[in-house]
Amino acid sequence: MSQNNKKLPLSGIRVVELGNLIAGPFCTKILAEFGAEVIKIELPKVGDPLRNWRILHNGTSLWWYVQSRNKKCLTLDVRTPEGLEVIKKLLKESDVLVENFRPGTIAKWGLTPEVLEALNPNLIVSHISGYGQNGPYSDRPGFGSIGEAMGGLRYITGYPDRPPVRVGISIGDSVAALYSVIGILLALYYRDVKDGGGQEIDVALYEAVFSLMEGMIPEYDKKGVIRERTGSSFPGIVPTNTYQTKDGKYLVLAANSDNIFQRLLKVMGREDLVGDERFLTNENRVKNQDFIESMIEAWVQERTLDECLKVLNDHAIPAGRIYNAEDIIHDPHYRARDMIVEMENEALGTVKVPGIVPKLSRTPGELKWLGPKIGEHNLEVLKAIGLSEEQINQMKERGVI
Amino acid sequence: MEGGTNSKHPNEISQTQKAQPSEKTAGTEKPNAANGPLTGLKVLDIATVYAAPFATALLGDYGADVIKIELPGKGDPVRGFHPFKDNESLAWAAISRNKRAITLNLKKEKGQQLFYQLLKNQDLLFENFRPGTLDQWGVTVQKMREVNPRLIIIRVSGYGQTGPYRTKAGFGTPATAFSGYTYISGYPDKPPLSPPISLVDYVTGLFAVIGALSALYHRDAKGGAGQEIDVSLFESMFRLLEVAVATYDQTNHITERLGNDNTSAVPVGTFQTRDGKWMVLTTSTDRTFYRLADVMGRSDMKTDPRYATNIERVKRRTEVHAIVQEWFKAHDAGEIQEIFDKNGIPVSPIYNMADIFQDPQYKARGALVEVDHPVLGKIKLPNVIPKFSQTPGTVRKTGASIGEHNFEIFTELGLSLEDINELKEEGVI
Repeated sequence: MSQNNKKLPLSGIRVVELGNLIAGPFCTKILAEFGAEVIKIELPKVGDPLRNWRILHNGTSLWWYVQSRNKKCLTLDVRTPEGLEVIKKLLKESDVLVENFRPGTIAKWGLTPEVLEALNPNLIVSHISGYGQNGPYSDRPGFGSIGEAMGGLRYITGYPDRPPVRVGISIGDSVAALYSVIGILLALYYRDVKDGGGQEIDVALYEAVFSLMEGMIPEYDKKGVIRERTGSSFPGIVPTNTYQTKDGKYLVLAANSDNIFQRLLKVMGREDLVGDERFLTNENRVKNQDFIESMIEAWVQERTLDECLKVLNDHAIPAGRIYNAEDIIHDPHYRARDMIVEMENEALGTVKVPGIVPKLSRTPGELKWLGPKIGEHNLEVLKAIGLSEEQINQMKERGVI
Repeated sequence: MEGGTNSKHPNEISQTQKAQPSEKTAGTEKPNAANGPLTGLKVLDIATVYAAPFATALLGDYGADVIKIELPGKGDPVRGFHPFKDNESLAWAAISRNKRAITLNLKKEKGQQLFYQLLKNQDLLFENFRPGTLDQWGVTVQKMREVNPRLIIIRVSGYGQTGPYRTKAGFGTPATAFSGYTYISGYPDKPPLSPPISLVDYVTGLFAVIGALSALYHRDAKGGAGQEIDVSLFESMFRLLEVAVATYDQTNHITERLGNDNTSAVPVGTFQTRDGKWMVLTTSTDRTFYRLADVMGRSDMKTDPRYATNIERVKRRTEVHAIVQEWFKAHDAGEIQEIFDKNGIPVSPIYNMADIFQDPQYKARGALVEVDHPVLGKIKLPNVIPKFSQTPGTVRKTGASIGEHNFEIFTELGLSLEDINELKEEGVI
């Protein structure tokens, strides 16, 4: 571990990541921020495809630098007998294995549950996959968008007159990653506080997305309601929507609790409607949604975004502008909360990256370095598990690392 | 994870889940006691609506004893959320699963006394008042620490406990827009699109759980002290937008909304089939694309430098997507699913709730669990995720009625029936 005196809740925990792209790597990154030693394993020469995704800078994606921060990068071809021996050695001295290959893949390479259990009974293994480790679809390749479609999120995202739309980020992968972190923390707690031993965690992308659909399940189960796409308005919670202002910008407004809506009526100069039965409860507002929406639309249209925000904020009515990357980097609140962190990097010079979430008062996380070069920590990691420099060089020549 | 609780028979799963706890606690006063890695952990939830309550529900899934405190008479606003059946909010039944519910007015002195008494034995406290509100009532972190130095306090708010916007009303939709998420969602020719679910609350809930478990591990496995965790809605969403930040910083490029064309890899998108269904397709790696090219009878694309690499395909997004769409239009959804599954190409129909309820994968995994409800009879909810081989979580109960556990919990604190009735009359509980 690094020589700093910051307390980190997961220091001393060693995590091996056998994964690529988003779900597995995003999970281990969060563990790394809270002090775990994360060793990422990549295929020699090829590396994680994320290295070439989206916007590149000198041949490496900017995404890579954030996704892989604080991790150590080891190249190793686990499919070779020699590579398999090395990873077994590594797993013997590790606490957690995170993998996001198609179910059965690492078992095919020789890392079956039985082998892993015999190797290290205290090992916690988190499997992240599209459809989970069992069931009729488990062999299918599963990616984030598939999980979003099958989990029910895509169907309700967008407008009724257009095809379902993807949301702006890889939400399915990200949410599955967060569940994997939670699973690992629960299992660590059970192992180390309750002497429970290691175990396996099975995270399915579609289930991670599905877990966010809570209200929709009893709605269909008990009322037969299939929720449809409704743009930016929030079915059943009124008013929540996006409105265009006089200067052509967009205001989001969520005046959907009973007291707040009464305040909004006053702000809009509709004292005559304050206390009116039709708007007192959400239940009644849902019935009068069209009236409410057009009243707000008309009020917003006559004002600039800044005018709207000033008066709404003054009256504690939840509203905001819709921020883009530029707004965010210049915003004083983001700065005050250390959510934009500037870091040094050999390839990029200085670069701004997001800070750490959540904030712990005694044991905050730490940003040590950004995404390493491929195989950057080969020597360090392999030496630490007892391989000689000669062995390491030979493995390199044979393409094992 | 073969074996374990991952049985292939969903009915068996829900039955074992219901049976296990009652077997263990037969004869004790708590008929549905928990099992799971957090059994014995005590969690107090004085929060409302979604983010923090979702977090405590997750902890409850894994065995924690969660006590939910609500304002007497009023209760959590979720109790008023649509839709209703038999006057029961279905959202409440879902979000408050596994919790015990009591009423307590924290603005009254007697209410605070009871609160501190209760707090003595708790491990975690979740609150989501606007920063400063609890202090205003005199319920400060310092006082809570005096009562219980080992307490871990999770503070959830819209904009965080510090910074110039900390006292702004922190609701999900504005906080999502503030996070940068809304701006990049939707079509270029339409206003930015807010997510159709309380996404930010769920994501914040997940980060709150991560914070709580990290602090708990630090306290119980490493001999650390209690601490506070500051989780904000906007930062949780923003945490998922890391690419946009680094990209803007290095290239001044502002990520815009592009409908379904906002992906890092091509072809990825939503395509319509001959029988009118919508399907999503993903080819995140060149190898997957080569399999797709073979299936479409376009093996030439594997070697053509214009299509052979993702970097080149991204430059020809419209053209590549048109080729794929044309092929989808010539095939039915069922046929496409079968061919693609056989060839290892990720594809899925876009499911609605009716599809979900009928799907064999959901069934085989027990992704839906049926739980008893005092008014509705039985009700289906999403089952616990993730799945553990040794210490699986359980759904034992749906959302309790307001004050349902007042008697049980206040007698545990040593109050008499008379005391409890008196407190009720005074509006303290």
